[in-house]
Amino acid sequence: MNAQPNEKLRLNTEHVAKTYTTGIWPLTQKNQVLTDASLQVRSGEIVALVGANGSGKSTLMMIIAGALARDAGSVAINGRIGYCPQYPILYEKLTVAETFRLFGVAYNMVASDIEQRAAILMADLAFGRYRDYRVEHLSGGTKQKLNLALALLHDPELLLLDEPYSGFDYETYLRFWEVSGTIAERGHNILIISHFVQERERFDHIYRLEEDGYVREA
Amino acid sequence: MYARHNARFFTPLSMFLREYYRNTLNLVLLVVIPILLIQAFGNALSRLADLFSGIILTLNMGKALGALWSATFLSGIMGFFMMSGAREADRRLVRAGYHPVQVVGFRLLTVVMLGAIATAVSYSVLIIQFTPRNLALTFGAIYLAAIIYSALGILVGSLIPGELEGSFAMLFFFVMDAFIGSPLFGTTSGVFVLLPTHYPTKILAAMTAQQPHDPIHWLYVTVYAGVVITLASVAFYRVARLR
Repeated sequence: MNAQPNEKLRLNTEHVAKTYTTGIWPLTQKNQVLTDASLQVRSGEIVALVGANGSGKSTLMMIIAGALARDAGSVAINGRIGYCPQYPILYEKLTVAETFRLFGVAYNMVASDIEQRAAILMADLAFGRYRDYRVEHLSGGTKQKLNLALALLHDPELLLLDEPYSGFDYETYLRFWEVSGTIAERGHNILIISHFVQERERFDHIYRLEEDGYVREA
Repeated sequence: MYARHNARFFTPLSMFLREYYRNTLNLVLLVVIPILLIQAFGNALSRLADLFSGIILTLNMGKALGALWSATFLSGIMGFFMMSGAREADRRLVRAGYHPVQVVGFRLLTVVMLGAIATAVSYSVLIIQFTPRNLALTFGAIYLAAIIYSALGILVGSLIPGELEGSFAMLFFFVMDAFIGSPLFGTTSGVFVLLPTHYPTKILAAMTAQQPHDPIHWLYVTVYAGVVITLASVAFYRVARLR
């Protein structure tokens, strides 16, 4: 994270490049995924990053979230981030309430704040009745809700969502956009990865990750 | 402030323990493996040694070896499956705010505690059969070997992504160690003495035979445990750190 963002910029990525190397030497293969990925997110914006399957959207998201090293370029973030991975990454044997407690403690939150935020998120995303269910017993859609709620638990200024509504029913999809609207109204930001965008009006900017590894505004 | 520090320490630890005991298979194995290896295999092991090297292994030594194997096997698979099953979730926990060293520390503490349970069960089954020369040292030798295997499980679980591949690696290593590294099967020199249960077996054999043992063996076992724990921590750190 070597570039300094100005006050209005919540996220500034410049010229990010990434090449995956697979196999064992001398039979290695290189696959350049990102050539020159640059995008900005300013305060209060909801931004989409779209692109074809395998274009490197999740790679760029993981680089921004600090989960993957980049080969070149810079990423500057102003504020706390919340990262919601594409597939639910959870502890299967823990209950929903225990999962909130564990991640809340990791976010350095106190017990009362964790309880309060978890209750709000479970109500917003309509899965409060599963509070004492183990994750392994939840449906795919409810796991996805918990996956998203964990990213929101500490009220991050920049929310990174990788295909967040893939398992949602229509009602939950609408609830998701209500929650997103509230987040943006408070000056916080959301960067959403998606294969395609159905409702362009929901986004302030839409970036497209092209197959040549460049990011262009759509 | 203290409450928050306590929560940051005890919450992950208690959650990791819950993950273990909520898996019914783990609890079944915890009871079945020691009984099976000590009770049923004790006799078979003592005969098997004859085939390998011509050394006669007493029934008690066979049972003591069964106790060592059950504690190490249980601890190894515990460490491995804990790591391979939760690696991505642990990485997420690191992204949420824990340092990778803290998370691996909690994982190690968890397996050390569970290793003590695995050892206690194996040890209890063993001492019902006969009384070794020194009860505490017998427990200590089995427990240290269990800790080594717990850390090996974490190491393999951190390095090898697939559960199937990792299970094979663990099993292969365990078989190599149990049959090739054991001094009771005639291995006394070469690289095979570097296998993890070589020196714990020597201590255990002396305890079973009511004979004294060389105290330097404790140093070897302790250093071995330290090295494997360090390697496991480094491997986990490399997987979980933020980039």
